[in-house]
Amino acid sequence: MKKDPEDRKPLNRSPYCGDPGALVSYLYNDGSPDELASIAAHVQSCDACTEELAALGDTREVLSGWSPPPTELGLTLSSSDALPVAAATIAGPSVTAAVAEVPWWRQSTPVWMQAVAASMVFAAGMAIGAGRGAAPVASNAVAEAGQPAAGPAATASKTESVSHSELADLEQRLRAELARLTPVSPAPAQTAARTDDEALMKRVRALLSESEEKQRGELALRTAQVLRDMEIQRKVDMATVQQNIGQIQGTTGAELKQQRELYNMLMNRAGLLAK
Amino acid sequence: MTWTDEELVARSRTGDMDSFNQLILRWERPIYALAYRVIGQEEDARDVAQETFLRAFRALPGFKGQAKFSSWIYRIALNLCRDWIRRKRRTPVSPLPEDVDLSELAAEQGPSESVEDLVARRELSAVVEEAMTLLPEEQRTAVILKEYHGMTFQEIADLQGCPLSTVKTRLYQGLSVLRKHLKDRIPSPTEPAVRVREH
Repeated sequence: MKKDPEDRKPLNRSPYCGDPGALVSYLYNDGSPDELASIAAHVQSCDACTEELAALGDTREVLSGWSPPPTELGLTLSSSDALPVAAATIAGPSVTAAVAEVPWWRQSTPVWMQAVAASMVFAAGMAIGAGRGAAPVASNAVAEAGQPAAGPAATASKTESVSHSELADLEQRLRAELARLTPVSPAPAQTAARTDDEALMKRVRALLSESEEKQRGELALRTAQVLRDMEIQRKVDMATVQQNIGQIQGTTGAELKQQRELYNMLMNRAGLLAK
Repeated sequence: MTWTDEELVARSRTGDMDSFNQLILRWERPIYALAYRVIGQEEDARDVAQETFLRAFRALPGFKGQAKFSSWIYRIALNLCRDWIRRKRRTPVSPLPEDVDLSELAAEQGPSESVEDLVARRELSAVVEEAMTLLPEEQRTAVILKEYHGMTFQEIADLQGCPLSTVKTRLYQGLSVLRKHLKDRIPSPTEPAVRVREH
């Protein structure tokens, strides 16, 4: 079986030898004092671990040279950024969002709706109860006493008819109330959504304008930098040209002087010879 | 008077924008540096930093101070970086352009730094960035948090949601890969010339 290079390290009996966790703890000096002291004692007597730690330390030194490019951050948040927060805490878009995620049958029902439903159930129960209670009394009365029972039966019948009409009336009123109130409920959500959209659009516009502003600034900076570089380069070139011209002029002047001196000397010698 | 992070958070929660902007001023550079080192794009790192603070501000009502503000904001930033990496589906750390823009160098040149030093620094950064791309995301993040943000193993474990021993292993493996890669590219101190980039 082929052995991993890590396994071929000379190991001693210390539990820390070759243990990556121990080495890293020691390398970063991050551990309990006892643990670090034990690792240190081992490292002092272990060449392999010392070597490994030295190599890792060198790597860390190289890593320390990595720095992000310097950039002007200047991040700030304005009150417009707070709008969604305010909406979340006050108007409750988060609640709207949460509701939107919950199936309709699990959404909580408003109190007024619960009260209406309870009233309807109560009224229906009353109606059923009244119906069951009145009919037998009337039939029993007819069966047992014939006509004399007309008085109470009539009273019961009257009571029943009033109850039904009242209940029907109540039902109609409740239905009308529900119909009137139901379309109202989405309005706050729509308003909140509209507010969210407006805030989002506002923020997008702000970000766009901020980005444009930044690009303009960067362009201006870059242009200024280029112009400055060109100006520096132009000055350097001019200085070089002038220096070169000066050198040429100096050289030419020196040669002219030498020739003049030579000419003078020759003329002097020629004069002397003539004499 | 200098407020602590916790005090500034408390004031921010009452709607004090200035306090939150102070927190931004305090933490924008570490967060930007973290984002840059993880995703490797300057402009996107700026966006991630901006988005980190925006999200933090919006989530302030839910921040009850269970963790340090710095840990909380680092977590937001790392989540955003992770989202960015998943979204982009490309090499997380991009290599620097081949040509060094001298005008940019001149612009970022410090008063006490020569152009030669600056070029060397940029090239060293490029080599480290390149080496970092070799690491899996978890190892790279662990190395960055430990090496450049001085976090403890426990803090990294909390941020990465893994055991402490895993953090140590990730660090060791990450450093070992970096060591092998950098060994061929960074000369030893005895070498006279810098041979950083090989074309």
